[in-house]
Amino acid sequence: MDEAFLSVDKLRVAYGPQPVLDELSLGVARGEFVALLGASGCGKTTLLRSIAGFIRPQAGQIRVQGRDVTAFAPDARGMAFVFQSYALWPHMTVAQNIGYALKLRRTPHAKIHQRVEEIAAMLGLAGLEQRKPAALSGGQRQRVALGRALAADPEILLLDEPLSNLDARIRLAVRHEISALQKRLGITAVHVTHYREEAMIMADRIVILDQGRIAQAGTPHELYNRPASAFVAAFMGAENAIALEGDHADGRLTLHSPHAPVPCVTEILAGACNGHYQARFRSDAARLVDAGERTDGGLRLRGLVSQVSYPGGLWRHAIQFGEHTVIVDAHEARIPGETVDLLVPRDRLFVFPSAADAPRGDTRH
Amino acid sequence: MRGKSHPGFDRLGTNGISGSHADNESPKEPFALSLSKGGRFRHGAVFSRFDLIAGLWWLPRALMLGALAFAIFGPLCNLLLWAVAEKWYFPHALPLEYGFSFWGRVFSARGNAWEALGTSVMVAGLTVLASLALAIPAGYALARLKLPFRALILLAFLIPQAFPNLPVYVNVARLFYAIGLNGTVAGVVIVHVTHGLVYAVWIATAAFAAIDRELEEAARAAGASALRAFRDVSLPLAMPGLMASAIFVFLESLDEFTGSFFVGAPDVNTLPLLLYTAGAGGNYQIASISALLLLVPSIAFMLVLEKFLRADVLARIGQ
Repeated sequence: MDEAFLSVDKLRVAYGPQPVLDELSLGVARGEFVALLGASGCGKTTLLRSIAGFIRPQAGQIRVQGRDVTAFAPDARGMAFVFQSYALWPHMTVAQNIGYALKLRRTPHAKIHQRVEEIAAMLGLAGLEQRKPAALSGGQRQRVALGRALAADPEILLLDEPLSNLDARIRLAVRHEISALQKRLGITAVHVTHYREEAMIMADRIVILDQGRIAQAGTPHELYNRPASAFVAAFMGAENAIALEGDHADGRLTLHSPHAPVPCVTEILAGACNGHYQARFRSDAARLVDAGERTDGGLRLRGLVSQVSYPGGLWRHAIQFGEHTVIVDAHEARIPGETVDLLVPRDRLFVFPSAADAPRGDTRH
Repeated sequence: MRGKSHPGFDRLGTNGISGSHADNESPKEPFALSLSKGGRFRHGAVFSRFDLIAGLWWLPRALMLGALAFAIFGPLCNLLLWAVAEKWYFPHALPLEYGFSFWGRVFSARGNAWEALGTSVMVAGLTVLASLALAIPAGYALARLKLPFRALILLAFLIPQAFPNLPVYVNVARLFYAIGLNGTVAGVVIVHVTHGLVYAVWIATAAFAAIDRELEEAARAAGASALRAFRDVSLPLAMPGLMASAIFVFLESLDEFTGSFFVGAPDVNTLPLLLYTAGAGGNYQIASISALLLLVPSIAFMLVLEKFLRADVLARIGQ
């Protein structure tokens, strides 16, 4: 196996008997921006803090360029860390905060000053150098935290939800700034977040964590269009879920539902069997058609429009099938109470064996 | 000295008490009066709309404030009067003669005041240094480490305060006598440290606990060793709390009497011991002057540390 620049090998961290990270392995290439995405409690911050050296793992290794740093103290790892709370030192000025790492390396005073000016100019903090963090706005503090991390030219930058304390509008701008900066400086970055969109915009590769394991890792495009599990599909925005029965024959899977007027036939690559399946799709993936209209291919379901709203752009419909309710966005509004058919094209329908059945599906289409 | 203090002896028996009783009336009245004037003036316009009872809202508050002011300043006024009184006896509400002859006596070579003041300040200073030297590591450990009996350990520092002073110090004196610490500055400092450590450790623990752990981690990530992170981040941030504890310990040490008496006297003569000797001998002037002298280092020390004691910092101590 090719040794990655930063590699995590079978890392195990547990608080008490319950493992937070369960034999987790991950490689990050030099200059790559990896986002760790997951719900709170999935272990993403624990993984980041283990890489930084704040948490001592029970088992496993962390290597940088092939060198085992697992036993190293945080200050011996040459990584920079940006905290969610920013953790700026309140008794130091902006300049002192940014220049601290250089001061520790006994950099000459003039050189520190020059570097601080440089960083401040780069991050739009010029003129604020003599202020204390308490006299800065949230966005400015975030920049100081970033500047402090970047001042000593770290090879690895670890970001722990650094944008979650910012206003929504500033956050949108800072996302692009950070990833542009990371590309320009060629730093290897690991970013923890629980916002899908943030991860998709900033990262080269997204690693989705679920209960201390990697659920799926891949480019934003891969994860969005080819989720490997129902969990990943749901995390990637395919919130609508439908339970279906599947018959497996001749390399084809035929899906039935009491709400489906015609069965849906899909091609199966591996691991399929007869039993329960779950289909997932995004609200903008489905189309509403009249009950009489003829279509072919895809999953067609007949339901009742129970609610219509207009969040902007498209009309949002809540469609009911027995006890299931799905959300479908359409260009034209339907009338509540109307019976409609809903059509999900095969390439936008994600089908997975239900948790109780079979191995994890490698289903496509 | 005895001959001169003879008329003073008269004062002591009866006049001392009735004298303070007479004082009771005089400062209170003008105070209440001035407040009542202010209250009436401000609320003149309101009277037309509200009834008389609502217009008297200030009265209980003014009385409370007056009583509080008297409780704080009354004894101090009495002290000041005694310090400049040449002659004062029953039934006179105020001294009959004013002068500074007792000041001269206190500060004379035979008066021991300078020496006692020096000893007191030295003992208090050493007590502060020793307490902080113990409280900084102890407070940091109690704030940061997962100790099994944290609450119990914190409570243990209260033990020297929890028992009656007298029997404890009598026994301490016996023990110190055996190991040659009795009558030494070191012995007195040790006694004062055990007494002051509860403030120092509790406040230091609170001060360190109030510091976000991530601030230290940020320093570690920047490349600082654990010790360097402590020096550059934790210690400066805990400093206001530590300074507050230093003031407590200093003031505690400065007017500590029982321990100094049993362990220090007569070789280590602090100001409270001098004050006690003077007070017990009926020398109210000398006792008052010693007491005023005792205020000097207290106020000086507080002024020196005042810049650390901003209200926002003090408010954080309890967290």
